[in-house]
Amino acid sequence: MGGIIGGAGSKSGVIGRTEIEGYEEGTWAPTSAGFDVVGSFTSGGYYKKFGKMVFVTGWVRGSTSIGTTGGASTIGGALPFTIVDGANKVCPYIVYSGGQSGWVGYAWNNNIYTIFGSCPNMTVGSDGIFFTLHYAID
Amino acid sequence: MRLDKIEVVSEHKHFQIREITDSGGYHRRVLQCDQTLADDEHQEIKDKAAELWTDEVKEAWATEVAEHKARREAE
Repeated sequence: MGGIIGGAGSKSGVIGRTEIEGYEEGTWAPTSAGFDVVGSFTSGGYYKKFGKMVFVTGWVRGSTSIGTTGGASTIGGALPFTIVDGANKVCPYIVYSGGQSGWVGYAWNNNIYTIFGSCPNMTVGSDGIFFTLHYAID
Repeated sequence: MRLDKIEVVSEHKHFQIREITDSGGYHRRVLQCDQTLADDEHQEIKDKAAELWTDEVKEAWATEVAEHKARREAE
């Protein structure tokens, strides 16, 4: 390796730009399954995949309101990649807008679930629900 | 969106789909065998579903989901 980072003879020309095998980024869109939607449903999200690890963000909105039923809901289906070993529980972090407290659920196969019992029913206005999770894939 | 890749994942034959958006980026989604495909779904996906989502596969997946639900309710 050369002594000057980014200069001639150095191993890597640009600091912070390293070849990562299996890197991919893109968009995905949670489905409305499991949500109590009032008005029209919209959703979106982004993912970044580094090898066999995926980082996902997503949001869902109802033009009037959107909610989930604690302990029972399946939310945000159609994750961009199937989670390795469907029986594993992966904890997403879910944030309701409007200053309501965040809480966690879990993910199984390609769906996100509210966490049983301890999660109350929640409904928010048109600002929507935001969540993030990361998980391993095959 | 243009269909770019269909990966068949796990014994339950989930379809891990990659599409290319109009702006050239990737868009991902996963389809399970208990889902109803949209009328405007890509024909290649419809064909693969007809081929791979057999009754046996659907029954195995339904059993897995039911067992998962039972575990969830027991906790």
